[in-house]
Amino acid sequence: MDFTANYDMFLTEEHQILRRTVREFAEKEVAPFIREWDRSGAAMEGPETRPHIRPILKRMGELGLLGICLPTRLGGAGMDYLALAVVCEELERVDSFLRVVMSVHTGLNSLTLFQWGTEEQQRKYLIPQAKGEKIAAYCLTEPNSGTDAGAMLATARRDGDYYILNGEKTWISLADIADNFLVFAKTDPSKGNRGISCFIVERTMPGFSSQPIHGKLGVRAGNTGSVILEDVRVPVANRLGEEGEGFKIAMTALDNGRYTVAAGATGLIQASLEASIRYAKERQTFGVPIAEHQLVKRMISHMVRKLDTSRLLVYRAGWMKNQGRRNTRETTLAKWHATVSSFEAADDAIQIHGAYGYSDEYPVERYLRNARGAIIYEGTRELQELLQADFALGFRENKPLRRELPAYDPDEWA
Amino acid sequence: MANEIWVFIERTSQGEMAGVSKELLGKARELADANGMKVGALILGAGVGDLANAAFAYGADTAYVVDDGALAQYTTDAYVGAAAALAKKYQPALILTGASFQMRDFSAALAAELDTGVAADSTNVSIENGAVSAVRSSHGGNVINTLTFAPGKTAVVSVRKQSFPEPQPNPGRSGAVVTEAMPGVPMRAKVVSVAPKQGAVNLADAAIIVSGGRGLGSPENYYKLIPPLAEAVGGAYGASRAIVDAGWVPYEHQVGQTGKTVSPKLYMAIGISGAIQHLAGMRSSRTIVAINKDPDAPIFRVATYGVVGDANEIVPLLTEEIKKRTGK
Amino acid sequence: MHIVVCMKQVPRDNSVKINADLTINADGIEQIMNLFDEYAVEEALQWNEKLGGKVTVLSIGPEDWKEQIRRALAMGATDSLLLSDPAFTNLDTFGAARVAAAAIKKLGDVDLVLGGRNSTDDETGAFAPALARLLGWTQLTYVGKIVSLESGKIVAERHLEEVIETVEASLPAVVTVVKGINEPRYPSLLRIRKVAKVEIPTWSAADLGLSAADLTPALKLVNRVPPPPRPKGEMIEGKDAAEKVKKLVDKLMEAQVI
Repeated sequence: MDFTANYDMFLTEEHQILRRTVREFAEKEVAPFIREWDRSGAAMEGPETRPHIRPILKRMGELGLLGICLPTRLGGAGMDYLALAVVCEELERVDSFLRVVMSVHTGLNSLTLFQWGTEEQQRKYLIPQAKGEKIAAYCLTEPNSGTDAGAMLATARRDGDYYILNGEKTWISLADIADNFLVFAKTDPSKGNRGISCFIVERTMPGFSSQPIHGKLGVRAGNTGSVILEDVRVPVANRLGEEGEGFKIAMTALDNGRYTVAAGATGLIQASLEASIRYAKERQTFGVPIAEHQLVKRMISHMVRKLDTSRLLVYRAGWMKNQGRRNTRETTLAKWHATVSSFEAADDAIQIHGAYGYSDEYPVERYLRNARGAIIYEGTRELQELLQADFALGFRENKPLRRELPAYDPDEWA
Repeated sequence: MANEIWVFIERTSQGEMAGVSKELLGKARELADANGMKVGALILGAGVGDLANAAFAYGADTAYVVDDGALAQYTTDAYVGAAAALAKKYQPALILTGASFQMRDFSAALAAELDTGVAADSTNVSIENGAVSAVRSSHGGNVINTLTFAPGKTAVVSVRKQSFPEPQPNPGRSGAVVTEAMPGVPMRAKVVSVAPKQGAVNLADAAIIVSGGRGLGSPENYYKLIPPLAEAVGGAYGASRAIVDAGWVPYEHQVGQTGKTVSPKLYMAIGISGAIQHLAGMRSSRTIVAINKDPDAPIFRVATYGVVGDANEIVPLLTEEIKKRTGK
Repeated sequence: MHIVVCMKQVPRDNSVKINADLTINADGIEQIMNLFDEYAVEEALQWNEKLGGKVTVLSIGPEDWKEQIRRALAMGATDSLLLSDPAFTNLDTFGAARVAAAAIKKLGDVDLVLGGRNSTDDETGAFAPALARLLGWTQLTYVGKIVSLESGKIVAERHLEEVIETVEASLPAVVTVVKGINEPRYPSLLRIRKVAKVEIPTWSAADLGLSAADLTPALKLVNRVPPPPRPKGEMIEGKDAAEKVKKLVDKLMEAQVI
């Protein structure tokens, strides 16, 4: 059965052709190798030992996925924000590391340049990123500050036409691969959140270094690392937004990053469901396929519920982005629901596969390991829960921003 | 409509009558006897020699021969032109051909030329009250269709090899030879050269096929295990689409929906889980052996003999045991 | 050069069911471009890039079946044509060939028709030969390489079971291709957007001047069943691999298959 059917209220034929294209790419160019790539990542990390990453990024760039929802005048494919969701779904249906690329390169970095960047910054950085010629990442988390971003220690000290950046960022996806980084650092350490500013930093700038993180539970086919900034001189022209505007920028970036995570998690639920259906029809116990057993059926039906609700939440958020409406509440709800659901779905998929699901003979154990991280990164489950309550209780509301994410304009973007 | 069943006589590269033609003559004879009909052998070529007598030995009553330099090599124009002229003149009720690529090309074009239909790659054919029916599978073997031709038109049926038993020849049989001249038809294509296919594997003809799949783990394991076993049993080696697409094995070896459809007397599936597309290509094999780690693999559903275990351990033992027992 | 690619939409896999009226039920199975036709589209695009002209992708199907046509347009086809009519619902292979032949005649300026060696659902492989005969053109089936293509002439390799036949033929011609002739490209995302709003010309039976007689199947489908289940197999048990192997070889020798 086609679980992506009957979303015509959101998706057009374009999205369907896109879906098929991305699915073919992922199934043909990644799926046959993913078990080996994932295994190799258990032992080591870092680009030198992960030779598959750069070629895959190059292919994604050639296909136009990395600039999927950016106007063609900025080097993008000119499709809408729902197309971004479709890409993320289909990529994570095969492996999370592919979707992580979309999250950091497109969601967190490129869309943030699209929203906040000056024309000059967009010309210099966004266009090559949209074309996939340069790879981008996002550096907010530090060893001692995650959810509590205001506690960050990285600093940016003004020195004439430059800022001098110092600090360490960690859990940075594509840390060892990316060319351009959005780095958050304090221009005024006395001011907490309001003292944070955002900078575009290039790997080639002196004082920049990165190192991989070893021994991750999941997303082992991808690259995650730390970024170390030692007296990195960044031109003032590379400051994104105003001084002190960094926290707001970081949060709007997360509205896009979380959206890609939610969409990807939806794809992961679908992968778990598809694997479970296949296996439940094949595997026989007590003389019948296990699909006939009620408790297996229950797991299947719960996956279906989680899949459809997650997808609907994601598409609602995408639709709002297309309209140019603020969507923090809707996006965080989608992210919370889809990521938690994806972990549960992968867990049930393992249960349906029995002992086979516990080994990497089948992909479901990888789904489980990959799903776990998304309950932590880009806003923990707990943070999303609090946000939902605060919105509902009226303790929190969207305040207007100096720059909003542009609405989708099919004519202007084409 | 004449009361005749024709069989297109194919030749091997050595010029002898192909096995499939013998099978078809046997079937045509059986149908003709049951329905009070005659069997015609359709012999086209340049220097067809003794083929007519061979056809008589296998059951033909009449040989319809066009022996002409224009038929030295198969081209659709020449062969369909000659066959259509004969068929229009003598009006057979049914024309049977093999189902090789060349014959698929020929039978479909001939049927169109005769304004009739073709039952392609059939596995059975029957005649009841003068009406010809054919059985053919579609949808990767998941659907078995029975089709009946409209009366009054020549039925054209291409038949998959080994659908019928090869009859015993009777060298004493004889028949009439009808020779016709090559009709004037436009010849718009010419064969410039024919070269043997590099690494050609005629899976469709192999009596035994040993196939490997992703369960083998690596291309190295495939080549270490599968060809030696194939050699030990005197068979060809095949592959699942998964490993062909992953570049382990050339496409020539692919069995399944988008590869070759095979029905050998023995098919050994090693490390192949049995995706529906693969089953489509091999489920009609007479005996199927499946070796797979996963006892729930769907391949075991179609297997005559199933062995659960690690191919890397079992296959070398199997190859040795077969060599020992068959004295090869 | 004007190349027409005949493209069929088929179920992604063949786990179809059979309806009571013997039609095929592919409900719930995703529809895709027939895999062999994808190679035909790619081949047409590659020659079009070299020679210029246009590539028309032609398909027969209901009005709402345009996705695969758009996919071919997004791959790079320049033109499209859908042949759609309620009367086309139960066409057989030759009926489809008559419909396509009428359309190609109506197009008028076609030099080459490309298609896959067969569809993966009906698997007759008879469409292209029938089409060639109806058009009165030459046919080259199972082509694994088009060596040259120029005005009025084609040289192609036919990849048969054991030999490769190089054939020179005059144009116009109908050519079917095998898997592996090329590596089909992905649709371009930029083109996906561009072709989304392209109006796909649609011709009906009346537009093509086809009568009911033209569409009548040459063969009558009288029965359609799933394949008989295979006789239940036997799992070979044993204390270790060696014992299993020994037992298996016993069985195979007993059955005289080796």
